[in-house]
Amino acid sequence: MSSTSKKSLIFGLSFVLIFSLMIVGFAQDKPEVKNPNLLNVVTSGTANTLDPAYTYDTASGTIIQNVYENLLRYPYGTVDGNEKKTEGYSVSSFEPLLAAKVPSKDNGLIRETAGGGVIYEFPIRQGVTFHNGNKLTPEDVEYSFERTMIQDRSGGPSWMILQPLTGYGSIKSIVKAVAGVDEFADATSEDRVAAFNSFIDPAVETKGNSVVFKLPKSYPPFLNILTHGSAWSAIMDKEWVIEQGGWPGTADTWVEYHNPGGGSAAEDSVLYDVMNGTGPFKLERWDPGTEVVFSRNDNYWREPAKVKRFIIQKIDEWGTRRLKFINGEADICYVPLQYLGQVEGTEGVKVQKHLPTIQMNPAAFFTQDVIVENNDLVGSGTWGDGIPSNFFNDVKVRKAFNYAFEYDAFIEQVLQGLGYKTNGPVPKNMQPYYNDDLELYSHDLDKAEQLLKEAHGGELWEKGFTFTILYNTGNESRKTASNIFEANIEKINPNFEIKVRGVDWSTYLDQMIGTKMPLFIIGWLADFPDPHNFVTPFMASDGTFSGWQGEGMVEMAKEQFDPLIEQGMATVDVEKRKKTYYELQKLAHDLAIDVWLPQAEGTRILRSWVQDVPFNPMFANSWSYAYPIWKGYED
Amino acid sequence: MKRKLIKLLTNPLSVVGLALIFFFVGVAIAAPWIAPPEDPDEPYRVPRDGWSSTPKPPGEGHIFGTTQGQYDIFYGVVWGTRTAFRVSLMVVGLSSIIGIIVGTLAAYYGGAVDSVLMRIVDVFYSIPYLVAAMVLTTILGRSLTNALIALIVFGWMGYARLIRGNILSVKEEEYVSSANAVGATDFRIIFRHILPNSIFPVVVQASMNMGTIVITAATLSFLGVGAPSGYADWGQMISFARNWILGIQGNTFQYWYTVVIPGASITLFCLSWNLVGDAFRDIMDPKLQGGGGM
Amino acid sequence: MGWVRESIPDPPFYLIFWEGTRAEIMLAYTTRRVLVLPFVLLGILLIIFGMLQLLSANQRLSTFISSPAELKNTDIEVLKEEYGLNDPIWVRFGRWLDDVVHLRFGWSESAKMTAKRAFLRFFPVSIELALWSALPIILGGIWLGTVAAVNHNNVVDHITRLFAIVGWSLPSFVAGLLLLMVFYGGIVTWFPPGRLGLEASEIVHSAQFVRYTQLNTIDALLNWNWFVFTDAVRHIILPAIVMSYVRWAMLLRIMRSSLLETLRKDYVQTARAKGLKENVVIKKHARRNALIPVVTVAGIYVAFLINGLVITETIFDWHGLGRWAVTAAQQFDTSTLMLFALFNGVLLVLANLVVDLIYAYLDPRVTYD
Repeated sequence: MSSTSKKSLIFGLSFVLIFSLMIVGFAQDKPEVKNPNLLNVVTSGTANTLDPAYTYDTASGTIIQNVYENLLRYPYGTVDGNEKKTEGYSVSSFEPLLAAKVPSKDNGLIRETAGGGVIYEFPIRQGVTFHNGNKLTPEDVEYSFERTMIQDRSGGPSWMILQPLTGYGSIKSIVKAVAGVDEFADATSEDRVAAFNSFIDPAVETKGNSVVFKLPKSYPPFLNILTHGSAWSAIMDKEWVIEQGGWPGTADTWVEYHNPGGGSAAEDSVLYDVMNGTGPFKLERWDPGTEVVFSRNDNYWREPAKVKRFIIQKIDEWGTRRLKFINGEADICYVPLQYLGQVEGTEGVKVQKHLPTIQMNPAAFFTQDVIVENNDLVGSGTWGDGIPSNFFNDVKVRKAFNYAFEYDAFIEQVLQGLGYKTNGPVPKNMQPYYNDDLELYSHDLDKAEQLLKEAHGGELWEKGFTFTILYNTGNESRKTASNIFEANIEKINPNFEIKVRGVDWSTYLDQMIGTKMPLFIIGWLADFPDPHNFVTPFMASDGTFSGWQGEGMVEMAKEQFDPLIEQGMATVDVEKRKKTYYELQKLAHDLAIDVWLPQAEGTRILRSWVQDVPFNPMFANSWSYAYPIWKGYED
Repeated sequence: MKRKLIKLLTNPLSVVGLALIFFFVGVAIAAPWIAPPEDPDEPYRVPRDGWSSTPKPPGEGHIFGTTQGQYDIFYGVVWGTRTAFRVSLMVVGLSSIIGIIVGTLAAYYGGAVDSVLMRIVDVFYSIPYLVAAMVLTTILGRSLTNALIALIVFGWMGYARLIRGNILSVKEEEYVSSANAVGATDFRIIFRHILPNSIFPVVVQASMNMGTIVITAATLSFLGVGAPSGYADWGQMISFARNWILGIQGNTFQYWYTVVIPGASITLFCLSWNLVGDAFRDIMDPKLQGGGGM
Repeated sequence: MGWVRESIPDPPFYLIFWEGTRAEIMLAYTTRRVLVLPFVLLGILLIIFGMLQLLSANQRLSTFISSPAELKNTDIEVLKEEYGLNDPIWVRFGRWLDDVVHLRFGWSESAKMTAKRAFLRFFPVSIELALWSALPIILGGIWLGTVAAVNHNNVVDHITRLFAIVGWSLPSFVAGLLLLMVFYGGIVTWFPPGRLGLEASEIVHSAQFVRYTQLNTIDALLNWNWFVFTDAVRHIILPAIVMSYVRWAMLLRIMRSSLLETLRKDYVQTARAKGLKENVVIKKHARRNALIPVVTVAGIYVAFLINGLVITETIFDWHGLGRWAVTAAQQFDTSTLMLFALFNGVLLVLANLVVDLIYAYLDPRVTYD
């Protein structure tokens, strides 16, 4: 070897040596049990904004739930040990939070008016302060609701407050109605002020120490909309919001603060990245897309939280996230069900299973009268190497698909046994409105075959068909569900062919709006725990899904479902409503409007030193409320 | 020529490379027999044995085990060899042709033509090709063909630059000016004199890209674009392993087969082309003759 | 060698008649290149914008609507009008150009903040990674290349080359995950993913820590905080390795053949004949000329930076430009994609220019007349 190369080699070796020494210096053993005063959660999912009136996603909801509070709260339960569940949670009974009492007919705080309207009165709790020191007053409550109503950003949550309080779903519709015009832009500024004065202002008023809501007609889920866990009804401090540059609260200024950023630039809202609530935690720092850090509010009006700091970190890559959790650097971890086996049984980790969920996620939807032009999902548009537009109009076909799905196999293999079969669209855990006695479709290929032979007068069986199922990517279980349909239908007759394709959300949206998907799989999470929140998107003629399931479905809905949906909201009597929703479920079942796929149960994956994690199916996440949590071991 | 061929065959590294390539060719050809498809019309659809996510180790019925979603690894790797050849041949073939055309025109005509063409090359270079390929694939739809289109559209520039550089030097050579003096047409000069003398580094580069393109395609699959889910493609197979690579607590290598087997296929494929390309270059480049010799 | 030649700029015709000094000519050349920049940028933007127009208005709507819940109570057509999705292409492009000129890059849906703010936030992260990776790439590549060339044809040569080629053939996401598995998986936990551990992160965000550059390593040094520095370095080692090992091969190959070529040149033979020691020969004469391809490769590295960052940042959970690019591409975040195209374009043209100038400086044979 030449001297140059010798030198190079020596240089290289010494570099490696020094480097190794550095490494050894950094070496650590596996970390011990963590800082008992810090709670660290690792998950995926980004928060859009910190403005309660703007937010409509789970991640923001989680943050807001810990910093802001609402008038009421649900009782929550805690889950002890690995499978034992402590009852104690509810989604239909309430506790007062910022209100001093829960309104009811009995205590006279819910009253009906002569014109068929309803009044809710909430006395406000005394002695509560915001994080900036200001006192909570009824004016703050009034302001918070009015602000949410006038902000009404596109695609946002304000409709949930507007609908019960004004009878309209958007403030623009109110203005148009008042002005008598078709376009919002045609309304004059007087019209806009008038709209505010006649609809928004009187809907929420202060009365001494209380706040009074006036509803034009009965709205059974009204209290649910105001309950903790619903970010859009969080209470803010009026002076503080105005200090941040927010709406002054007057009729002639509301338009300037309406729809900030056009619904697409969350930053345009003044409360985008600042928070000032009454809750047990204060916002210390928000790094959008990375992490959010909370510190304890020591002036909380109840006993302060147990942990001093609380961090939520976003780590998209499952492997990396898991490692952090296993190494003890994180206390709670979001684990997609299919990877549960990788963490379960590990020392120092506890898994809490079989937690009830309130969702219909996913479900498989049929489109009746699917659009055939310019649609590559329907093949030729006729039998054989395609499907005709009315393929799913025949109830026999829809039933056959219901019999074709492998429910038990899905629960076993995809949901790791942590799932349940259900009818729809009312979720199983929404008692008493769910009919446990209604029969379910089962996996029965013989029945499916029989139905397909009879369908469309025999033409279907003779000529066969081909079409494509679309699922919205990002979720293994939806893809597998599509593959299950594919495999089972193709088994019945070699002339049947189904293709499966995953597409991104934009393509999906496009196809859905265009009514082009013969069968699509997507899901729905509850806004509030009332059956109305489910029957509307699934069965109303203008529902989010049903409105795009083709002419046939829309007609069916107008005739048979809409009247029942209205009926369900016309009374607050639980028994009467139950009957109505039972009827709707039966119709959904008999007409096989969709396939109700098995639903996943909730699971929580925690380090074993994490205690008293509260549980309520309406929390944004199964772990999202950090107030009672502490770290250590019970004796 | 013959001397060079002998050198190629006696260089140990290139022998290894060639042997590997022949092995892969063999597997690709024999695919329908060693891994018979469930549905003869869709041989590239990897069979799924169940719906569970958890991979199963090599054993009964599955020589190499199954990966996430119970896709058979053996099947995926065998038919993936065909996919790898298709991808590399098509992408390298077409992009090199485009690049050669553009580069030759630019170098030969020079001046404004050259400037404009090279600016166009710059423009295409400026777009981060992974990002662009992702966007294009997502717009056109997730299929192998569209991924190929994206890779070709954003992959021809290197060849253009390369051959342009070579031609620029060849252009000054005497035999070109004498051909010019004699009155030969542009076309003739390009084809008979310039190209043969400057194309060689492009060939070397292309042969090495055969392997790298497969890795790029695998990266696209890893990022969620590229071949559709369930297609027999090495990149797909590895992307299924993504969430299982780290094993479980107490046994980090529990699911080794989901990574190692498709990963080894990609690595060996790329390696073989690199070795051959490298050997080509060393042997044929006249400037490296003499001295110790190879 | 093709790699070397491709960077020789073709002398513009009008300079042939100019007899100014070399410096003046270089300046004119530089100016000419810089003037072309806007056209190149325009071309890039047109391409990306064009691709995105293959999307229908409905698809472009998805930037603003991210879940079925947001569709309710919303008139789709009204929304499309509001966002201007139905306007003709040139109107939309014009609107966008106007925004850019005023440095308004729009809202990045994938980052959930304005594109400008997101860029300022993610850029330092990627720069830190790029800088720490550049060193091993260049040093490793140069060193390995020299070793291989000088030991031409013996075992050392073959082994080094094999080592580099195997590295080149290993997909980076596999290597990344394997490295994580070994160094963080459970046997040891030396090199965690992410940028900083929890404690160091707290320090960095506290009031006492002054932010000069947003680069954790440099800021830690400037703040005299050894703890944060070591923590940051521990987090950067694995990603830097993953970023660099692929380019070692490239650099090694080029360095090696370039050095081999130079070593056989006449003047080197002469120097040898004169009796100069081997390493002097290498250092003084051969190395300088062999560095030319290194500069070229460095230029290429810079140009393809984003591509390299994409995988590394995803796996090691670094919130930088690469990771942002992936989300933006998957969500058709138009404003972000355009910003990326712009950024990469400027980067590439400048890198090219610098490379050409350095090249001209290093190689006395290159002239402009």
